[in-house]
Amino acid sequence: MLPEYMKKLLLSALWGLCLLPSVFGQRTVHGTVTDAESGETLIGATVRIKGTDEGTITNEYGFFSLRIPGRDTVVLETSYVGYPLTEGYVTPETTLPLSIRLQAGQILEEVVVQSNSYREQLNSTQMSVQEISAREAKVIPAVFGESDIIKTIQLKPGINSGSEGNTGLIVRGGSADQNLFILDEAIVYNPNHLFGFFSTFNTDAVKDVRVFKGGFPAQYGGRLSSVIDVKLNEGNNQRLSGTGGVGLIASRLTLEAPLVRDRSSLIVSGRRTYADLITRGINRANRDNPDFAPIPDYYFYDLNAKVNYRISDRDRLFVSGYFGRDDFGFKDENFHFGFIWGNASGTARWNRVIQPHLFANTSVTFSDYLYRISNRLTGFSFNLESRIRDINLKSDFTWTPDNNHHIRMGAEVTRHQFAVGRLKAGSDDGTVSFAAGQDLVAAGGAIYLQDEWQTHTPLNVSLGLRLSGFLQDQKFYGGIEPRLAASYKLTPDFAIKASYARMMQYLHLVANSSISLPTDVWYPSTAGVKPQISDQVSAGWQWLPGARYMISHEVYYKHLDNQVDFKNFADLFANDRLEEEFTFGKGYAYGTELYFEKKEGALTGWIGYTLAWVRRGAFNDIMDGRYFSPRYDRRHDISVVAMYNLNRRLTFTATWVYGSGDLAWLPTGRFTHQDIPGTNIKPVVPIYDDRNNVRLPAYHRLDLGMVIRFFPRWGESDLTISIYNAYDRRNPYFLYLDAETTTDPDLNTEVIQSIKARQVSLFPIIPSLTYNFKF
Amino acid sequence: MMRLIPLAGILLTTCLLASCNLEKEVDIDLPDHMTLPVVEAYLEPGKPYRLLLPRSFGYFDDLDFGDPAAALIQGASVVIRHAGMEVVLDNQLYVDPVNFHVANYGSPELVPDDLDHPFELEIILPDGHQLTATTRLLPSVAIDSLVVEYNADSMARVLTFFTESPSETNFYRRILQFGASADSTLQDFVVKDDFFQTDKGVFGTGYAFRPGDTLHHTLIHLDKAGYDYMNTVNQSVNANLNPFGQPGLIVSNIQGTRTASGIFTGLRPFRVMLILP
Repeated sequence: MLPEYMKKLLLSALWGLCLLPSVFGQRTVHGTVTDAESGETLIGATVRIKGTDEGTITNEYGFFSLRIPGRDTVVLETSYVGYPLTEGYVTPETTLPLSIRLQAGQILEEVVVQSNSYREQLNSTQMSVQEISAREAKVIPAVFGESDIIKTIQLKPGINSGSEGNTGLIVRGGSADQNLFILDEAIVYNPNHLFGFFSTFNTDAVKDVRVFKGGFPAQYGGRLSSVIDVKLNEGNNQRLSGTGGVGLIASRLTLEAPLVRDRSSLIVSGRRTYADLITRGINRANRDNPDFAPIPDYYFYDLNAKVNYRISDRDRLFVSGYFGRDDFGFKDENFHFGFIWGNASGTARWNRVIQPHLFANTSVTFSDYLYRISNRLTGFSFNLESRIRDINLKSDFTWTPDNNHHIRMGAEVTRHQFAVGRLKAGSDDGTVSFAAGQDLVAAGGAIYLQDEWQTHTPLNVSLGLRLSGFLQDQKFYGGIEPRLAASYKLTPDFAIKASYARMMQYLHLVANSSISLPTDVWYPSTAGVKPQISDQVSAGWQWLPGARYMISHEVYYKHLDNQVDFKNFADLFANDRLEEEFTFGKGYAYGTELYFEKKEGALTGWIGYTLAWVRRGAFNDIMDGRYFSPRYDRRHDISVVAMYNLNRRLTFTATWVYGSGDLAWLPTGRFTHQDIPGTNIKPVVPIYDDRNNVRLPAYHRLDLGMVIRFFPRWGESDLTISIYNAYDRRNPYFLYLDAETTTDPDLNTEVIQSIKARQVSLFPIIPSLTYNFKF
Repeated sequence: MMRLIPLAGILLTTCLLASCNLEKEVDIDLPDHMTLPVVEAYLEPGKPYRLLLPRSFGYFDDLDFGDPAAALIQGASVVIRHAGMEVVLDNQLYVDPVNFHVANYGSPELVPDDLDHPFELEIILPDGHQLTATTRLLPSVAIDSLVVEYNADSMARVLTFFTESPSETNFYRRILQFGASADSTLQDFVVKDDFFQTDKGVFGTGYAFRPGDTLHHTLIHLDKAGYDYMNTVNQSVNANLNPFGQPGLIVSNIQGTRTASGIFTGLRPFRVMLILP
């Protein structure tokens, strides 16, 4: 161990130094906080003047700005989760901008800071936010051993999955389309692979994820219920490094390297499933077997790439991109079926430090989601596709006029282009032709301003306003979206908080199922389709009973206006008049969330409990306007997550979740449909009454995991063993009512023998093994 | 690392053993069902008037299979009015011995081939409630041609062409049956012509037939009520079995002083039988 004074000496040597003289007795220091090994900027790191409560945190670009006394030498403390607390001296001669590099701590290292983030959370007015680290997501057991950020998010209170194994998010009673997924500032419209069983976010490439369930900052808008802001790694600007893994269904590899050391780096990350390689082999082996039915091909892949370049101390450029596709196909000599879907996004971003207290981020983003179904038979073809494509320009400013005010302001404009259900089919000679679909264009924009006001009293306030607008075919909608939040510290370890946020949503997902499907399409607000609106109030308290623990409790009420649902047996498939299938109503959700977390020590984890209600109604075309519960109206939800680091080599994990059963819409009655002479009788035609009339059995599941780490010369590797659904619980995926029939030989018709309810489960106990490496 | 291989084997075996039995019978309580009268009447020109009037049951209700008549509503008064004429349907069991088609109300009178005047149904149920419905016969749409194409394996597909009017919304039911007695239904679905760009419509099959096979093609020009009813009946059946399906309410053209379901519609099918060359 180094002596304390040597540590301080070494840590201060990591700082870049300079000083701006100040005529006002104070000066502004600014800079970035990065990981010393990789050069990655650190989001949310605390920079504080030692011995005072003057401090700030780095923004999402790792930048901070802080006013300090002009003529004094001060000690700045910098802390970040997983890193030792570091100190550095700033003298009047220190050169700006500061470049603070933190050396990551080891697992179990006592000095590693964890609890400091709790203190920041307590001090902040921001509530209803969850931060997820890729490190957590990687060790938490997941189905087929594929770690997934979104599935980790689902373990937080107030957030549920749409159904078993699905990456859809139901946040505080909002439907799955009311979540804004942002990947490096570009919107991801369908963040799913394999019908929602995996998300599009490759954990190896992800740097930071923040989930806002309420109290939305003013820079976010466009969805009612949550914002999931995912930042990708920037790439190691010190040396070539890599991470990867081989799992049961997919393999992944991430490489990062400096292009110009300390100035520029590149990261490329890819992932692909390989079930198709096996099924193709099986198909080839059975090519001559006339009784063999070939297995269709399926695979998905995604690629992330990012390059950044530090032009000067003030300017930095980033270009990043994502491309992912799911590909399902079947081909023989007469039949050629293909179904592809996926997202593409790109971001070009320019960070500039205009003044020490004024930071600007300007970005141009591109987002695209597409699905295409094509089929070709001899002489005939069929093509159906839907797409949404955005181009967005955004300028965002962080202004810190003094240590009391942290101001975010900016503006953005977006051009949306929609191809909705474009169908083209017919014969090659043109005698038979079918076509359908709509092409729509829209534009949206917003300006926003938010002041995070630290009063240096127990009361802190955040005041924000977002003005948004949307134009489609000469129909304009505008919205005023106030964002208010306040916190009051009753004691140094206990704060009460409250927030209010209005959100407007101008795009709507046309999905007739609670399960996220690739064929779900986005549709803009038009003259006939008003924007959705939510008003959410939250209140709660946060308590730090010790340095290692945090307990929070929130209650919320959310009112939803202009909710979109679909008429009885709506025809959403290639419909020229899709809007005619919509029906509009209202909704409300309320509940309470209790959260206990421990981030420090050998045993870490959290326990979350949610008690919630959701109702929707006032739809002219649904149940005569009466209110009903959506399928995901779960009363109780509990998640327990524990991670135990036995030593440097072994980590054990366990996750237990419990949720009240989902609701199902089951028939109450039946009749027999004889049909016209000469056709088959339908012995059981279900009669459906009110929606979602039966509650399914409760859902619960235990997942276990073990990470065994190895430390070869070239780096680090691990074997992750996980058991999904360890006690093999048969959780309901869906229920159906089964009528067993026999054929009456005299009447040549089917006769019902018995009727039973049957439950179908999706996943039994699933053990899996994943090998991961890092160099 | 080598020590972990047996562990992986045990885990995999456990997985394979456990992956069975993903479906099981469960006990659930369904909300009470209010029994509905269900009407089925298809008016086919040249055929006698027939009407089936059963009732619905709670989904789990027991049915006395030895007494199928218990499912029928007897004692109703059934009248069909058309072009100033009134046909009273008697309450007795009619069984079509060829198609095993059953009706509990009927008349020996034949349905006239009249496209100009509507048919009006009135039913007075034993409990005094009244049910009504109106329909018209539509012109049948002819199958223009059947095109048989063989692939290299001497398997055939059949394309069924018909002419339609893309300027108006039309609804069709396509039925394809196999075998000399048409006892195996291969295709049975309803479509509307929203997407048609030309006046040619086509239905096709895969390369699934051999020379000598017999195929029965039926094309029915439906009215909107007939399409909506068949479409929603099919979707209700599918929604019960499909986790991605969205249930809904069956759309019926039976009106009245109480809720009812069913269909009262005209039927002028165009049928062609083809023995593959």
